[in-house]
Order: sequence, then C-alpha cells, then structure tokens
Amino acid sequence: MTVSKQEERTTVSGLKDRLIGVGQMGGMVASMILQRGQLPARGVALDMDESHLDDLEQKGLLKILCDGEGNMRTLGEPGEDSCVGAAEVLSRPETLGGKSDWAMLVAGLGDDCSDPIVRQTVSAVKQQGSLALVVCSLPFEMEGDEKKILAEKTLEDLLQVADAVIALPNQSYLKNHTQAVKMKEAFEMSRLALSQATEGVWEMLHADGLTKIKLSHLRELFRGQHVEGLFASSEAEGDDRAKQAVEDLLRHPQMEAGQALRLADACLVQVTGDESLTFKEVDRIKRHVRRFLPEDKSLVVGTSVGGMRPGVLTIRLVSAHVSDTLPPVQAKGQKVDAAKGSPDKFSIPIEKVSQPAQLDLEESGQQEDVVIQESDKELPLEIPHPMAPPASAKRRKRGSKKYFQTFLNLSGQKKGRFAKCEPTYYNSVNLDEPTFQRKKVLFN
Amino acid sequence: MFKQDSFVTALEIGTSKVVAIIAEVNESEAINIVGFGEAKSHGVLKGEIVDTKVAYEDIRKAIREAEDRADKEVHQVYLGVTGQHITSNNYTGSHAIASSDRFISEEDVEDVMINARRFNMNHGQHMIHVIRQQFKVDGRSVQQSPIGMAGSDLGVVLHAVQGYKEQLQRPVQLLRKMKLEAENLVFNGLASALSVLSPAQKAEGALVIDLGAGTTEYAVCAKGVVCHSGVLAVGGDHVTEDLSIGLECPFSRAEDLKLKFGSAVVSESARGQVRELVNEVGLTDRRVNVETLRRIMSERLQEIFAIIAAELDRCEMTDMVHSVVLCGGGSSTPEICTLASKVLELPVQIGAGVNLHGPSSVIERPEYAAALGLLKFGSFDLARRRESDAARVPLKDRIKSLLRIES
Repeated sequence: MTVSKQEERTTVSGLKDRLIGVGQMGGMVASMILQRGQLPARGVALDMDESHLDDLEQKGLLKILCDGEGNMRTLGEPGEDSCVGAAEVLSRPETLGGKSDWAMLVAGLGDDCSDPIVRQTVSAVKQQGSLALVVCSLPFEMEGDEKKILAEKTLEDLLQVADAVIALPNQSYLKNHTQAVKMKEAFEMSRLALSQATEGVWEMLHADGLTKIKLSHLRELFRGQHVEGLFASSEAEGDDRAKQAVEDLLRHPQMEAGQALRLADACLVQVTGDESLTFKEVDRIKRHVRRFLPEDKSLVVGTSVGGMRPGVLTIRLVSAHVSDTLPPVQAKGQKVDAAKGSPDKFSIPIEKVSQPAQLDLEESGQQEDVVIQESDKELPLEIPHPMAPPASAKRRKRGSKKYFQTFLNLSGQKKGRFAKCEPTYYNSVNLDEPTFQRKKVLFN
Repeated sequence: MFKQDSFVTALEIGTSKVVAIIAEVNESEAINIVGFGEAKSHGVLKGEIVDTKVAYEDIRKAIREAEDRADKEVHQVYLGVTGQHITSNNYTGSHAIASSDRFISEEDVEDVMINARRFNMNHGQHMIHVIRQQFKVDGRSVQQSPIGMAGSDLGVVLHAVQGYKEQLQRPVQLLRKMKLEAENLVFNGLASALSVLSPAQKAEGALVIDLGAGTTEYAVCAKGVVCHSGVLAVGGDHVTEDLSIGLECPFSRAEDLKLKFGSAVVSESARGQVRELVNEVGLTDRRVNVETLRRIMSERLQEIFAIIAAELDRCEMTDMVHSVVLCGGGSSTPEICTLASKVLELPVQIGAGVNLHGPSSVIERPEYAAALGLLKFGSFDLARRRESDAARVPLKDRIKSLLRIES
C-alpha cells in the first residue's frame, strides 16, 4: 500500500478527528482544505472515478476508489482483486481513524455515483461510535429535477443516520446576484461556500480560546437527534466591529434578519479576535443573538483570542433545528400552522460568496459561454410579515413554483428617530419600525 | 420645623419629562407632597440617557423647582430606572431541613434565600430588586413565614429585576455631579404598581401598565406581592413616530396631531373625517384624514397590549390577573381603556395615586404614577429604618440593664 500514513494528531482541543470528502466535489473541497494546511486533520477522499482521485493533491489525503456496489480499495493497492467490502475498508484504523471522536463529511449531493458512498461512509463512522457531521451542498435548480430529487432523498437518509447535517442549497448563492452569473463562477461559489462552511465549523471546535466551544457542546447539540443545522459567519473590524459583525451576520438572506434562529433549538456562537477582543464586545454579540433565539433555547458562546488577523473580529454561528414546530406567535389574532414548521436548508452567509470577482476566474483565462440568467421571478423577493413564521418554515412542494413576488420594498422600512439608537426587538421583530408598515395596513 | 429624616425625594428621569417630588412622611407613614418640579426631558431616548449634558440640565431644573417649592435642600433621591436593558425573572431555591425535629428555623429560611439568590447574572448586570413570592414546605405553598413549621424540604420563589450597570450608572453619575446621592434605584414598573394599586387590587391580582413616552412598563401584583414585571422599549414616542412617517409630517407636528385628534380606537364617527391644518400665518396648508391618523395609532397601541398579553401568557400569569390599571402619559389617549380591554379581555381603568396627600394636579394625573410610586417606596424604606432604629437599644441602656441599675 503506497498511502502515506500520517501520525494520528491530537488537535488543540484534544480531539481526534477526520475530514472525509466524498465524490468529486467533496474530494476537491477536502483536498483544498488540507492543502491550505490550516486544519490539523487527516483526510480521506472517496470516489468512483479514479481520474478524479488522481487529480487531488496527495498530501495528507487517503484516496479510496469505490466500485458503486459496496466494494472499495485504497488507491495504490494492486489490481481489481484487492477490492473488498466497503465496511472492511472503512473500518480500518488508517481510513476513518478507528476511535476518532468525530468525522466531518463533505459532499455535493445529487450525484448518483457518490450519494450511496456518502450513506455508506456515514454509517461506517457511526458504527465506530464517532460523531458524524455532514456538510453538503444541494444542486442548482438548472441541474434538473432528477438531481434535485436524488439529493433530497439522500438528505433525508442522511438525517436518519448522521448526527448533524448542514445543507447548503447552491441555488441560494444566486440570491444576491441580480446580474448574469457565469456557469463556472456559480460552481466555484458553491465549492468555496462548502469549504468555508467546513472550515468554519472545524475552526469553531478547534479554536484555542478562553471559553471555547467544546466537542461536548456539539455532542449535546447534535448527539442522537439527527438534525439539520445552519452555519453562518461574518467578520468586521474597526471601532464598532462587534455591532457591525452581528449586523452582517443577521443581514444575510438565509438568516432572514435573524428569524431563522427562531426555529433553532440550540445555538453555538464562536467569537474570534485578536488580543484586543473585549468582554463588552462578546457580551454585546451574545445579547444580540440571544434576542433572536426563543428564551427556553440554549445559547453557548465561545471566545478565542487567537485570531491571526489583527483587529478583525469573526463570528461563527451553528444552530440546530430539532423540533418540527414553530414557537408560538406573539400577536393576538395571528395563527401559525405548526405542522408546516420544519426548517428548510440554509446556506452560509459568507461575503466572499457573493463576490465572484474575488474568485480570480478571469486570471485563469477560462472563458465561459454558458450563463445562468437570473430573473426577478426566480428571486425570493416575497417579503414575509415580520410576525409570521419565517419563509424557510414553509415546506416546499416538489416541482411547484417556489416564490412569487407580492410586494417589493426598495427603500426598507423607516425607523425615524430611533434609527440611531439600540433597536427594540421582540421575537425577531424590530418594533422601531412603524406597526402599520410591518402589518402592511393600507390607507386611502 | 421638619425633621431631616422624615423627607423623601423621588426623581424620575423619563423620556418626555423629568419629575422631582419631595414629600414628608410622618410617623403614621402618611405621605404629604410638599414640593414638585418638572422639566421637559431632552437627553433621554427609550428611557435611557443618551445625552448626558442635556439630561444634566433637565434634572437640575426639576430638582431646583421642587426644592424651591418645598423650601428644602435635597441630598438624596429615590431614582426611577427603566430601559430595555432591564429584565426580570422568577427563581426558585430549596433547602433540606437538617434538624432532627424537622422544625424550620430562622437559619433554614436564611439558607433557602441564599440558595435562591444563586442564579446566574450576565456579566455587567446588577440586581435592582429581589422580591420574595412565597415559601414552599414539602412542595406546599405557604403564604406566611414558615418558621416553626415542620417539614423536610423548604423552598422559596423569588422575583428578581436586573439591569445593566453601564446604563444604571449614567443617571447616578449625573446625580453625583449635582452633589446628590441615589438612595435607592427603583424599577419604574414596580413604582407605578405601588402608587396606583389599592391593597384590595394587590391581593386580588392586577396588572399595571405604565404607558410612557419611551418605554412601557408592566407589573403583575397578586396575593399582595409583585410576581411578574417587564419593560418594553416602545411607548408614546413610537406612536408619534408612526404618525410622522404615515402622515409625512415632522415629529413635533405629529405630536400635536396625536394630542388634538388622536384616539386608540377608530370609531364610526372618524370614518372619512378630514381636518384642515393651518400653518403659522393661518392659511390651510394641508389636510389630515382622522381615520388614517387613528388607524396608525390604534395599530401601534394594539400591538403593545398584544405583546404584554403574550408575555403574561408565556409566564402563565394570565389567570392571576383580574383587572388592569393603566397609567403613564399614554393612558390619557382617548378610548385607550376600550382598546386595552378588547385586547387583554379584562376590565381596565385609569390609575391615580392612592393614599397620598398633596396637590390634586399631581396625585390625580396618571403620568406621575411612577414618581409617586418612588415616594411610596421611599416611605417604606424610611419606615424600615425607623423600625430598626427603634429596635437598636443605646449602649448606655444596655450597660444599665446588664448591671441592673434602675434609672
């Protein structure tokens, strides 16, 4: 066997863990992360296509070739005869690490070749008693219904097996783009978002902090509950960086101005900064996030002063959505259909994702002739009632039209003299905005 | 001549006004108002000081006016506090009775109180009030003191009101600059409840809503004690601001319109009613639809009451409340009782100072309820001090008693 076996490394937080990329997308992301060398993890890439595995950087990455019928072999083993059952290969100590505390799987769902391998791998990880956290992307709508249905089916299966699944719908990255997005850029965005979500959650757990997020927190959050999660991150610098970072975190469309957190059953927040990070800043961030969470749900805040960039404050947020019901509505006379209250998948709000110019595609000299045309009809511009459940709570029907535009608010709601003071929130509703505007009361 | 320690001064630094009231508390605890000062507030937003320089001047003006009227110099004040930084919660504590006879002693009561107070406060928070609700002996509620009762487990329920030090310090620092001391900080919601509720209402179960300019405080009293309280940083200014945005006019004009034509309910008579507004030179410059104006006001006020109703429901307090008393400047809005009664589904009345003596222009006005409540709080404090002073036997008398010397 020619696989270069790394020493089992114990990370800063004392965890032994594994990064597993499945399929072409997963393998590329895992390889990309390991190549950067920031995560002290061992990597595994699984794929049915040997050429995909050959393209990946070898350093620190164990490559496993699958035949799609439950047989696998590590790349470098001689011949077809060496193919043995997947369970046997995956249970080898050098593959998934034996008794590692947890494994993070990265994959792009909707691929009929790699999806079964994702399920097999998660099952193998679970059999070894490790925590299985899956970060996956869902296909773009233009990729067709077949892929979409397959991805949804795999996602449902994963929710039954894995401890936690953070699903990032590729289509959501196009929300911020009103102009044409090139095909290549769209997939780059998807890959970048997937790697940043993976790194974000990883770093959250490994940050060398004073009051750090521990594996026990994650276990408590996810263990045995098979839940979907939301990951978000933001960063800011300057005098008012805490406020700015929280606002950026909440401003992302997927956070729905914080309303997405109303469905959360628990939330982990990691605040990272340099040595100038103050208690007040952490407290401010905590208080802001707390306002959006239902009161009976727990919030764990970890801090780390090991930020590599001077003056920059980073917030990373992971929330778990276990229950299928929405919290009760506050205003009288308003009803919520609790049966429809299951959260949708969320994407990660990373500013870089919405800036394809930073991907340096033009420098690589690649020219695209296929573009995805974004039309207003496809954009989720329906503005929900602030007291109503978030849009993500509505279960979508397959094949049905997802969004329709009822009201386009171009200027945003006015807050007048309260614009400059601390906003008053009640269950994620900004009460400084006029009630009649929020309720859309029409006057003659 | 008055005794120095028989005076109590209340200071409420509100969003629309600063009120200072000086009162004399006699031996029978009757409160007689002797001085009153008021100044328009400019440096406060949503109940919190945002411009210290302007607020300093307003406070000084109100204090000086009260001092002049009472002909007395003020050194200490009972300071009303509010703002969205203030939170309240109920906490429980328990203590196992260790004695062999299982009779509850004074030490057991002290221990259970210590246990209940061991709740987690956020960094930077300060405890403003801790109010004992009830004791529980072996799970059974006990209203009176449990000392002497038999049981194996003693529990207690406390209602605690906390606020952030940073915000609480601001008015205290301003007072220090004026050589004044804050004798005690009192949450305005509790102060309003103290002033407007009769003993019967407190026992039966009542909700007090103080509709201020910047904030709305509420408190639930049942079985004679405050068992729930809260503050919503929304008030009359929000109503005015809504009008300003909805009617597209400046804030000051919206305030005038609110006072002239405003109502909490859109009545039939208001439908289609249009009023002409005149400018400084007496010419009609625009028209206002009264129905629209009242609709905007009604939506906001309805929302405030709906939020309070939802909060009471969340805290399982709805069944404890049998009546509602409104106070604060917002309670002067026409038809406010009708709207509140409709949303809260309870009888509603406007509150005024109870068991106070002084000018009716102060006592009977609901907007001074919080300041009057501060006086009441001060009078209770004074009565406690008097009791402890009376209990303290002078050293000379103690020596005489030890030596059995007859004086």
